[in-house]
Amino acid sequence: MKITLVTFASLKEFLPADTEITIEQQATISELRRELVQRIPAIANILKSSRFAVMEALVDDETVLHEHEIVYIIPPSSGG
Amino acid sequence: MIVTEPIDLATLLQQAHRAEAGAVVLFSGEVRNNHKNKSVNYLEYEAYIPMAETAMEAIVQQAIQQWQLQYAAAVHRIGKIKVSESAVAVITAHAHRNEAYEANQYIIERIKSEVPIWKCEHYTDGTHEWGKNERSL
Repeated sequence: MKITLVTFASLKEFLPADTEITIEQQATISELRRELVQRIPAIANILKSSRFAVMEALVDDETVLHEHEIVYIIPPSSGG
Repeated sequence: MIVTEPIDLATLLQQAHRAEAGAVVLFSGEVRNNHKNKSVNYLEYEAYIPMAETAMEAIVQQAIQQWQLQYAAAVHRIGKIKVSESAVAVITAHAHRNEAYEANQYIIERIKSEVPIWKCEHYTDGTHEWGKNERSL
């Protein structure tokens, strides 16, 4: 199935801000993390400390993703 | 609140006056001209705006309740921000100064560690680096 990833800050330097990817049906956030690290090993550390959100709400690693969902990857904050 | 225009500190202060408040604390987080011994040209901030605004509002409301503030507000600017300009402002009003100071610090610390806003330092030598806050998640 296809999902769209939205990235911010340093992650954008590895994954464009709006990237469509194909992953297995019913993949979870945790599987998505693994898949992304496999594709782009350089983001392993940032991903480890990043949070994920779907529809403006944070989701945990067990959350199951659905076709055409937009997944926001939120690296550690550095505002202020 | 997230804004793209310069933060107007005077207006923020004007809006915070309350007859019951004997103390108003205004914190302005401003762009410094150096970072890790490198000369900073400007900072660029970005945010996941809907989540950032919701999170900031929740933090401000939490502080209002916890310290029984007469007034509190927080504004973060995004986009390109020059040295000495304000990137973030927090204002708190309370009957007494201790509570106004404490609540103000509580709000800025939580904004820095939790709210999805990111800064990129642009140095005068042309390089750039995405920031890392010490207490971020």
